[in-house]
Amino acid sequence: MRFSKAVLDIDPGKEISRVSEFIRESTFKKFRSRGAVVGLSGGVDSAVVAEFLVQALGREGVLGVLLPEKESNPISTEYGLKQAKKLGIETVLVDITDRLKTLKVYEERDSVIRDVFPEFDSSFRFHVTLPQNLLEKDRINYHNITIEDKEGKRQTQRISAKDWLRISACQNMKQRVRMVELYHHSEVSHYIVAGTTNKTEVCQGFFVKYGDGGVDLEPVSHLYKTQVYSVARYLA
Amino acid sequence: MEVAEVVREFIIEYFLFGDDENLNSHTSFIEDGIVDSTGILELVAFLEETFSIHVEDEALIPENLDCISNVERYVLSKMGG
Repeated sequence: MRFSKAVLDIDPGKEISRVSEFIRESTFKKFRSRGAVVGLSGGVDSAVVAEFLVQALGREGVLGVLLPEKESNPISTEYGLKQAKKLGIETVLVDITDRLKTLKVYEERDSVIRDVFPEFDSSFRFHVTLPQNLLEKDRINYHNITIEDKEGKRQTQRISAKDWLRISACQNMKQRVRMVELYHHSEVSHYIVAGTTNKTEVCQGFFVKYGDGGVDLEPVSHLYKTQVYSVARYLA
Repeated sequence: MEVAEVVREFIIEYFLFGDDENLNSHTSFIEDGIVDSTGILELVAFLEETFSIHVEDEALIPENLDCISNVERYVLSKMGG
């Protein structure tokens, strides 16, 4: 076989049958459960997983859970609900902002940002960003914090390893709270929790342990992101 | 204490947990899996504090930070030595 991008080509139809069979076997025989819940983020991975679940378990056996918080882009919820409507599955929407406030996620993270930018408060927006032109030369990755005031004035500064670890630990709690919510809804219905991590993310460790990585089965963890898109195009 | 010795002690204590068997002046921190990118930033914080220097974003490249010898050369250049 010649090495080219074609090595990633898949037959989406066959993949849907294969994964659906895996989901059915796992859900009914291994877990002896009645269905599955999936967190609908509004992204393509959870949209494809929801499609797989419906193919495997029927729309009556799938619950879509939407878990926005105050910093989520509203378009994510809109897309998630749109996908659920298309599939005809039941949905639950829980705003997890209050749970995160109770855990002091925002408070602790913002205090780290204030250590870097003392003027930072709730009127500012902030982003953790990578430097531009990352691939231009062989250099060491680092993260920047960019804050933006109401007038759109931006300031950027490199964050230390210690501050990066503190910020990411706070951000990861969001995924862990979502995991708790997903398991609550799955147990109420005697369902399993389906994950949405794709192979590109698995290879990079780009998921949160006991967060979005805390699930019962992973229907797309063998598919690279390009392959998830391929299935999505086929289903569209 | 020499810069190289200070850096060597930090790497051994912080990243190798006392095991310095395969560490020499030219051992690549990144290629040999001793330090990841977050660890390099911990090294940077250590260098800034210990030697009272500021490491600019542009200086975060392997030529300056990927082995004891490179770090020594970089720190001495920053200290004007």
